[in-house]
Amino acid sequence: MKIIYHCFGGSHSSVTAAAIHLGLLPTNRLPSFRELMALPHFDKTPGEVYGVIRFMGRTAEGDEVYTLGKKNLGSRLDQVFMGLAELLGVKDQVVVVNTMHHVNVLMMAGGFLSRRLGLVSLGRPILVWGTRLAFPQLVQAVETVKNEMMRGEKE
Amino acid sequence: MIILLVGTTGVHHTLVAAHLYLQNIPAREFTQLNGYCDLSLECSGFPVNIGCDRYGNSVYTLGLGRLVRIGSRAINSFSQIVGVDPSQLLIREIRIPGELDIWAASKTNWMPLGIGNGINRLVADHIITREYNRIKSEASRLVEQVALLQGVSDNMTGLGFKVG
Repeated sequence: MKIIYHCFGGSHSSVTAAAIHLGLLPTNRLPSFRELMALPHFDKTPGEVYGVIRFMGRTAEGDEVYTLGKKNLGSRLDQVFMGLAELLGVKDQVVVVNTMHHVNVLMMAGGFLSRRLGLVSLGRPILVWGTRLAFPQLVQAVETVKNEMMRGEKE
Repeated sequence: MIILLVGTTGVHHTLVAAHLYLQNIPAREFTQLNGYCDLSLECSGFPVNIGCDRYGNSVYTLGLGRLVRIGSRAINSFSQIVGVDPSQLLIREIRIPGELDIWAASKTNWMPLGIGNGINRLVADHIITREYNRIKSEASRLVEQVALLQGVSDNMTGLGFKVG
């Protein structure tokens, strides 16, 4: 299976969700600043990678996890990808997850300051604070994805 | 092969380009095309099936909203990670001046009493008429590209265009 987590910039909520999926972050407690910053691609997206699906890693089960920054393409991208997957005959091999629903104001403000304005030292602490606040919801979202995948495999 | 024409919407200029590519349009009669300005066709996000070309390739259109370049890049990237052979899928952006106006006008479709649909058609008709030759040349370039991909060098006469 290919699991694609996508959000606005492809460097915060999608990367965090992908890391949870891959077991790169603990789910029984909030991750530290250092743990989040150690994630590949976390708060490091340059502008030209919008629209490029990036490989994050492979799970123990062999599933490939990807992240994508899609700017304001919105939830339509889910439909477009699934429509395309159906057309290409790979619908059962792809899971597309929009993580924008779990992004809070702090993540937006921190991400904007860090990525858009380049004020990294100011934006990052705010961003990490927001990510830690959103973390339980992201864990829940990933659990839902994993459960649905397991259900799909059983069927 | 699947030919996917992407633009701000999948039922306006992209649809006209697809029909021009398929040589389905009597001169400038694009407003009568099946599916033209029919936003219900693309609300699912599934590509709109237009037909098959002479080589048996399926032609689809897809609306990506105002971020066509990013959406197109995402689709390319998607096709790569799912392991689609590049010869199986041809993605082509159809870009024209005024495409964002067409997209914006399509957003008024919620207006009651057919007002939204009227605005949608009015704006699309105006811009596509103005940009018809540009769309036609995009279709011609697509004919050339597909012919080259198919390894064909015969003369494509329908659009007044010669390959090679």
